[in-house]
Amino acid sequence: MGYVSARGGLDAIRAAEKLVRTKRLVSDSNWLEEEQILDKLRLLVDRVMGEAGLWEPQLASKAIRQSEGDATEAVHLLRAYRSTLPRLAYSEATDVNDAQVMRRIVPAFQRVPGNQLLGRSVDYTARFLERTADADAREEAEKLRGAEREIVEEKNPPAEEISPRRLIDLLRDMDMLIDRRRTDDPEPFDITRTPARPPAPRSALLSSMSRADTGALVNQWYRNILGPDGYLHEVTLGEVRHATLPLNVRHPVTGDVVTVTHIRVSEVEAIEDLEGIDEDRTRFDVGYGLCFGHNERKAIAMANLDIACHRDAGHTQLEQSLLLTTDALDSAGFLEHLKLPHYVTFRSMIERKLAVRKMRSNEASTHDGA
Amino acid sequence: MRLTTLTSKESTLVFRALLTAFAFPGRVSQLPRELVARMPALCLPMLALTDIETTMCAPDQPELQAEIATITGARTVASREAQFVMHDAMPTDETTLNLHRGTTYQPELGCRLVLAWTVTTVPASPDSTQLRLSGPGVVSGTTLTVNSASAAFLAARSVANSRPPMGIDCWLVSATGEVIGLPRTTQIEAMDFAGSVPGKN
Repeated sequence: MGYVSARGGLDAIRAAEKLVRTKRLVSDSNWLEEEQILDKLRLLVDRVMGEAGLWEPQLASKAIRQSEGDATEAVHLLRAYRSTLPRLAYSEATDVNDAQVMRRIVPAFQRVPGNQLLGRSVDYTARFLERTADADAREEAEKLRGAEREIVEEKNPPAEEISPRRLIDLLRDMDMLIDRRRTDDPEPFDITRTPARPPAPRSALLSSMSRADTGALVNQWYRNILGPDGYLHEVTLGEVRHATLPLNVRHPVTGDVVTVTHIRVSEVEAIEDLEGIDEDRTRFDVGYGLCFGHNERKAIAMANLDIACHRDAGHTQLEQSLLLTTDALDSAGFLEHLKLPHYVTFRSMIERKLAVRKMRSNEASTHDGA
Repeated sequence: MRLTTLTSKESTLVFRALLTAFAFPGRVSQLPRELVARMPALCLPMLALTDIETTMCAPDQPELQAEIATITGARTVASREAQFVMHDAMPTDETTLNLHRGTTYQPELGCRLVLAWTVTTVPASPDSTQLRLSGPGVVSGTTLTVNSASAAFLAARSVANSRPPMGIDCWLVSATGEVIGLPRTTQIEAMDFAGSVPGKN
């Protein structure tokens, strides 16, 4: 039996698109407001903004609604939109010490300058699925609404708590850290313009990880630390922060630096124990991670992979894996394209196999005849 | 009529119209009418697509060129170096052949050319040439009727696009905001009055 290729058409594609749109817009449930997504699904909004490389909570919530909760599809929508926007200006470099923390923990040290600030976290919470009746939950929400106002009004933390000194500053004072700070100021690599390929500057690696798929990055981290890479090392986190950072640009008329908005970021410094034969075993080194929004899992993986990559120094395929395989759009795009028609390529494969079969049959006939 | 900065929404609408024009070469698309009422339609692609990282040139309209550069931050350079070139009249063969065509490895650097155009539905006559379009996205039977100056430009365009993937991409924009896309992949052949391409049946 021969292989007969099917043929789709523009009308069928339009009908499929209409089906998606109609099913999304027409339903018996209430209209899903953007505010609800922003407020109730904040971590998803943050994750989508981070993987899209675009800080715009309202648009991210629109994308999540349009994609029906498919984070990768929402990232695709935002990236596509972002690509149509003109670049208006370049931001000024921002000192992360200008950030105002909402949460700051230092797992490596109990008594740190500026104190531990747990903020909003479920790190210490037993996971129970709440099956409270809706009416009861709403009642509880009303009670908590008043209590929350009191908390906000009473809270006026001192400056050292809002912008606390870092553990690595303390370690530097103790001469416990390798100093890899650069004195020059190279232009950062722009991954939105040029795909980063190894060997790449650290800025390319950091931006790629910052925009990477969270799951892919965690997978790389786990593989690197416990998996077949066999790269067992001591992992201690120096800083884990959730903070707001000012975004500054130079005013086109006055030339002054002005703050145009604030973004929230997760920031992590990972302290690495050095034990290699060619390393300074009397000191530590530091890996750095920073990404949009509240996404500590990603920032922690990033910080650990940053220092792992530095220590690896191109001996394994770690850098290549991070640069080439962790982008959500790259990997999902390649995967999903498999669903598009491959009629010609597959027909060609069948014909090749039939040709081989025919050739072998001819050879067998010749052999039998001889 | 002064040009103004496009909002991100307006910019996206223009982008969408231009993208549709490239997706269906030869088919007339429409730039947003409210923008066309406010400023010259020819300038809309430049306002929507250029920014501080792009280069542009509008050699026969220096005032508009200066205004676009001020609004978008795009750098003005000679047309042979520009990523975006705008012409109010058909460019000469020399200009067309000197436009940047990109490289084998970076064909996307090829010039985007925005040309003023009068969309006509007048059938072919001795003063005009009817052209048949073919290539990816072209709806079968799509034709274009052009005058002799345009025909000369299209001939030069064919030469500029003769070494794929390098080449130039064009948008033909009317004063009322109708836009026709001619990406580099679109092939154009002259037809005789009977409507067939000479030498083909």
